[in-house]
Amino acid sequence: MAISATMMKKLKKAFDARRVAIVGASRDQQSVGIGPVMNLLTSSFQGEVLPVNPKYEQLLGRKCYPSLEAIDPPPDLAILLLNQKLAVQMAEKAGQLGVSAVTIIAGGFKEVGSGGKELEESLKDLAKRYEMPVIGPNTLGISSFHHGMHSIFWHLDTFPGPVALISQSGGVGTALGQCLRTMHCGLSHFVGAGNCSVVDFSDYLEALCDKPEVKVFCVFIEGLQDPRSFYETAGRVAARKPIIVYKAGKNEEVSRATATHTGSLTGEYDLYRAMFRQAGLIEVDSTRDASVAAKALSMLPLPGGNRLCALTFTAGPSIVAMDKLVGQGWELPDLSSATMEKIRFIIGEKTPVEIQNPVDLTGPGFLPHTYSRVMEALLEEPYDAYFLVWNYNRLIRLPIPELEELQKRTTKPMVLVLLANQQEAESYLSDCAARGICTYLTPEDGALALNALLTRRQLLDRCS
Amino acid sequence: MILPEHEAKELLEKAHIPVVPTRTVDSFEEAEAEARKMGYPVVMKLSSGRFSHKTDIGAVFLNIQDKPGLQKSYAELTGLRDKLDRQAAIIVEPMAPEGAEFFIGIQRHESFGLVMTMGLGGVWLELFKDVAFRLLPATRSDFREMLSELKGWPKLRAGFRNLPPVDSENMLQLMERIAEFILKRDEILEMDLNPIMAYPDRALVVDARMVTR
Repeated sequence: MAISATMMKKLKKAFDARRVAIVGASRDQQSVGIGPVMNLLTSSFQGEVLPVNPKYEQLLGRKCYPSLEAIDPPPDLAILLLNQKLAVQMAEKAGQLGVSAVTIIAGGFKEVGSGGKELEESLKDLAKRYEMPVIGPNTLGISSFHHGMHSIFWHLDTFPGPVALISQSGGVGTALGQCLRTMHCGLSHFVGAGNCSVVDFSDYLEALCDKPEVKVFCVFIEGLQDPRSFYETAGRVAARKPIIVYKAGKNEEVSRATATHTGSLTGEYDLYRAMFRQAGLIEVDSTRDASVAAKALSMLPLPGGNRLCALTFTAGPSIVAMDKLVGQGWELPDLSSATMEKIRFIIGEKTPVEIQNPVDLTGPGFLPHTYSRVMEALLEEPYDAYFLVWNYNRLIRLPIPELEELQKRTTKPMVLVLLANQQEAESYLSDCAARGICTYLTPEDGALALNALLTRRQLLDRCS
Repeated sequence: MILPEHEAKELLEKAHIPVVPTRTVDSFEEAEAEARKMGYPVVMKLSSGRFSHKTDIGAVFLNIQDKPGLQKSYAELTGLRDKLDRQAAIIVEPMAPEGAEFFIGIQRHESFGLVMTMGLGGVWLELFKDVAFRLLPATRSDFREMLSELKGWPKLRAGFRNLPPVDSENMLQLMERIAEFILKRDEILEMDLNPIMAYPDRALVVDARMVTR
């Protein structure tokens, strides 16, 4: 769909908004009208929060304006918390006033059938006339976390981080955001794409692509109006930054009657899947997988090849992970005899275990000092990536400082699986994240993280 | 509009896409001369823009071994022609030796645009749907990935049972040429190339169906 260059400029300005108007803001805790103001106020937003509601003179400590036109100069972004008909009227007014961009939260457009469709057409029309990007409609809105512009209307607990989330659904979007938060991964942006009437996925990708704080895109799609144009833009962006895509609606019936076999063989999801692959996107199958992949790609360097080494002190989790790793392109080359000797020396002659890759240390491996000395030896071998497992025990110190130190010395990615429960290990998980150690709670998540890194490496190699 | 098979094949041939040699014949004498030139066994069929599924209506005679066989087939086809489509042509081709069968299809999808489908062809196409898709234009590396996505590719490439092995470079070149062809031919809406017979030294289009504007 690609918006015009003028609209793209205004859209970028909206993400960097310093002056945000909230039309239809409310004091009422039970109303969604309080959402954006609350989020902005609690997110250290340094810009101006400008509630608009003729009912109040002040709202949550801010001056409340009687109308949009009373705000001079016009705001960078106007969030319209009005019903769909009033929202379109207000959008027209915003266009006249020269507001850079508006967000229409309300639904009731094309997704409700013919009446809504007409309203949507008039919205598209006014957006074009004023060259004003409209975010949504039927959306939570947008947030830019690095400058505290958290203005979506629903609750989302997160912190400034590397992942730009673009979601067609508010519910799935917040699920992704919360899942990433649970994994101690923050967001650079949240975009509720909604109906994509005026601004669509391609435009959001382009608007955010150049921002240095964006390391990874995580995109949730239900359906695209213009898959071909998405393919072109996403292909360009994916060559620069990883794009993880999660697609819903995989069970479309093939209903095309054609004179050839070709048409009847093709399901719509088949084409999406092929298109994602061709454009160089990384497709995932769940909220959790999307979060696991986004975290890994935002934190870790890519492997130079597919030679994997694993280190555990109980073999089971490693075996489980290998089921998911070996079929996806990883290989497990043997250790050199020199390293085997080093490890044997570290764990002692009496330890009844055969030293090979995947490396399982059994007993002596429980000790952080032993574990990390072995890891040090393994880092010297020509492996491209490492899969580490540590079984949490509250009586035994975790080798976190050692792993942080080792990670600093290498450009190879290390994924740590900490077998613990989230609550009990929260402070350790938080600590790992702060120190840049990419940690997960299950072997399967660890495996998926490594697979995402390898896929990205293969996609980049494909381009060259 | 459906193009008659021989016209579709002519277009492909002009675009340097390897096609089984096809000759239209206006008399039995011509048919016999062509068969002798090509060498038995041969194939004889009706080529028409009116009907698609030739086998279903008895408009295809495969594996014709000799002149009597040719005579019988010719008589049947002329009778069928009178009934179904007087404009239909009678075509003669050499019988393609046994090889791995592939399918390549092209469509202009309303939202994805030009799409290529490629996979295991012949009669099992609809049963197994072992196919891969890509948008066109595509790169050689995309075509290579399509082959690797087929479940049957590793075994076919190595030579499955009594079938000869398949050379991937020929398949890739074929896919590239077909892509090039369709990108230049805006008037072709849809295309089925099935079967494509693949051998160690070449890949050949044996049947082609095209829908034009």
